[in-house]
Amino acid sequence: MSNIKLNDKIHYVNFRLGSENFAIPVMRVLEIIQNCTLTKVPNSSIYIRGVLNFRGEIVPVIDMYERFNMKFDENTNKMIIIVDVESTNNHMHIGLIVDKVMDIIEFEFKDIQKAPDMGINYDLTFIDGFVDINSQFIMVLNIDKVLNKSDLIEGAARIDLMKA
Amino acid sequence: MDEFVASFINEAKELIARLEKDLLNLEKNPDNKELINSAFRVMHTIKGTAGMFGFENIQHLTHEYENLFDKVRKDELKVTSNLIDITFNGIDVIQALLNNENVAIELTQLFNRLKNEFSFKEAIIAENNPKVESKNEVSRIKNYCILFKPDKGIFERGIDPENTLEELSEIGVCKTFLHENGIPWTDQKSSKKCTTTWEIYLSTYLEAFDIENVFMFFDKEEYGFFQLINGVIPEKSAFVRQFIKNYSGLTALTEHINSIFETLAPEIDIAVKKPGQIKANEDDILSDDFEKQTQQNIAHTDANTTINVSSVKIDELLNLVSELVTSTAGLQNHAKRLKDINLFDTIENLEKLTKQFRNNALNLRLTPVGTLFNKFKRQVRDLSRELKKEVDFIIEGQDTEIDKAILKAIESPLMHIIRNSIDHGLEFPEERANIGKDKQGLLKIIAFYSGANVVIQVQDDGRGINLDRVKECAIQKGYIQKEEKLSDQELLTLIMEPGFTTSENVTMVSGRGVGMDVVKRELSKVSGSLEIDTEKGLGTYITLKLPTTLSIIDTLMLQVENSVFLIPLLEVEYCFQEKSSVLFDQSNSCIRYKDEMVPFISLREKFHLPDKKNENEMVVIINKFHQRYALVVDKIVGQQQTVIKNLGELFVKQPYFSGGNIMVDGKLALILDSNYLFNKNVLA
Repeated sequence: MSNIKLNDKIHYVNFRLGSENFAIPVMRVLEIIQNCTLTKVPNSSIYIRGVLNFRGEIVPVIDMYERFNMKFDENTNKMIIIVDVESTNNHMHIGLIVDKVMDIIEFEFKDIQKAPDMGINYDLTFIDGFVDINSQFIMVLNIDKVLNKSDLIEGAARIDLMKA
Repeated sequence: MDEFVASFINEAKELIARLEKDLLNLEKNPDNKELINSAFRVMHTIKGTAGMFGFENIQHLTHEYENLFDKVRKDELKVTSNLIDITFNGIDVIQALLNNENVAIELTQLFNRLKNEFSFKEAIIAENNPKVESKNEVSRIKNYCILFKPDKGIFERGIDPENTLEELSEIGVCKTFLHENGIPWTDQKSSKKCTTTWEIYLSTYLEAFDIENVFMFFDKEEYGFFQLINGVIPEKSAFVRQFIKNYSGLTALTEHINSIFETLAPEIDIAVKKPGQIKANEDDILSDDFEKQTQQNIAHTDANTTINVSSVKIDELLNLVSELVTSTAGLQNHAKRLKDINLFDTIENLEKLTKQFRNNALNLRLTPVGTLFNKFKRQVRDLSRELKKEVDFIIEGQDTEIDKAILKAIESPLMHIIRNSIDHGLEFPEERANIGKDKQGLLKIIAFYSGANVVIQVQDDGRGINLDRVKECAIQKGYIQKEEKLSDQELLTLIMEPGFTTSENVTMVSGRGVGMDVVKRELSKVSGSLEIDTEKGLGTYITLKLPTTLSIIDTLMLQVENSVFLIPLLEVEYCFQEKSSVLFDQSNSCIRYKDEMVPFISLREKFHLPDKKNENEMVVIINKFHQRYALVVDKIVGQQQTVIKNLGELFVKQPYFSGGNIMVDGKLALILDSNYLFNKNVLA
């Protein structure tokens, strides 16, 4: 991201998680999957919702609700966004489970405003800021912070998981 | 640079492996010129590259061997077993040096031996002091003055002098002066009449012999050169006089030459450290040097060369291929519904192709067992000499292919078995002669396919295992009771018990029985098994049965609620149905099986699945190293061929599963790791 200039237009994927809208750069997204059955992994960290088969590879799916202190609504359909993450020795693919992918939005880097540190009940470092598009506030995610590997691995083992 | 060093090390190791093979052959056919040349060539190649990468010791050592084999080549030395021995010795030292081990003592000993036994005056040992080394390097640079005057009709011979100049510039750094004699060179080139003389000053690490090689297509009259020693022109030969002619006297020429080489000196390091170029070039020169036979030989080995591909790339390919298989299966389902015959045919064809594709991709991981067996040749030779036994070592089925990881895992177990066979199986030559056997003992290692498995068998025609002795020892050590009646096969399995040995005097090489348990354990790590057949006085057959590959295993599919789990079929001993009341209404989690109380784990409980009572449960008895455990599940779905896939970095703290498998329907199933599941601490 270092070579991005302030007035470059960047495309973002705008998605909904609970009652909030988030955006991640299109460059990082590989695929958006609808209607997918996850395979649950017993005794895994609470942040991992399960695994799925993505182009012949086993890809972990992150529970974004858990990560953002939101409630997972079992009764709605979910979507999975597969993103590319730089890992120690190569690229790694990780799935994000979200409510719905809305659309692709476009804004300049300088449009990103500093997020208020009030009224947010998740880790502030998860977001780079917010943009105001048609008077809708969209949080710009810092995907690498959200998918911090050691956080994900160290998360407490989930017990309720298999009930879903 | 590091990556160049690594590739040098790899290459040197490959060369050495080839040399080892050649030496063993050479010992049998001491007059085979081709093999001698090949040994010389290997030493030469290693010498050339070793210096470039700072392996000074290797460079000096190979230099000695190059000289040694040069003498053999020229019939000044005979191929003796002593010579072969010392060369093997050298190979070991070179290998140790490549692995960066400290072998200073061995090295000195070797140089001394070379010096004493093969009278090398020039044996120099590189000091470990780096300063001395770099000095050494400078002194190894040789400066040559070359006069190159090709014949007028050189072009008609199909030779372009420019190529020769280019070759020279590749083996070192050089400065060239053109004496066109009135006609510009480009005109000479187009009119195909060469009247030019070149004056070439070359700084290189190579020998005069290598320069001769560059000019191998030219007559003696067409070129000449001399080496400048300490800045002085060596002697006043006719050739030197020709050189002087262009200058006003010897002093002027010496000055001129020295000033040129001074400018060349700083460049040589830069130029010579382009490893790829130099190496390739050296190979060219060398192959030119030998007769057609050798060339054919090289071409032949080249045809069989392998390329190293990182296993990550292969895994990626496998991923894609299995995905293709899954997609094709999905497509087939749709086609069935549509009932379109044409579509169906096409898909069937596609399916066939993808399956073939998948098999081919899986084969990429396989290597011929011969690569391992050939390593044993050397060890068998050394061992038989050490133990004073005569062994005829035969290898069969070396083209049988097996997963590289498995091959690596069975190396030491196999070596152990071979050692046992030579040390305890085969009799001494006199003993054999007395009982009417051939003096030379037969040791055979064969490999073949058996279904999806690979079988490797080590056979010897020695004295066999003394079963009475085994029984005696077993009673003595309390493994069995005196009155127990055991079949031969049962007695033989005792050999594989830890610490079991019948040998009173454990030799340096092996003590029969000791370590057989280790062999067995190593084998079971790669899902292999071991069987022993023996006949008193006739010999012993030891049979290893191994899976072709580790990435595909047969598994049993278990179901609890909606979740599917896989467990390696090899670990499963028995399955049966049991009433829940029998299982759970006890204070301890144990179940009776074959008069044994077997601890069980309910996967439903373990993995916090919804608490639901079934009337009946399925019990799977797992047998791991003669320890039984049981799993309680809802249902046994069936057998399944499983391609094991890693769960990935986020599951490093997840010990229950050794991987996952993508099933035909595209869904994932997790593979249970029974090692962890039945770990005593976890059970408690």
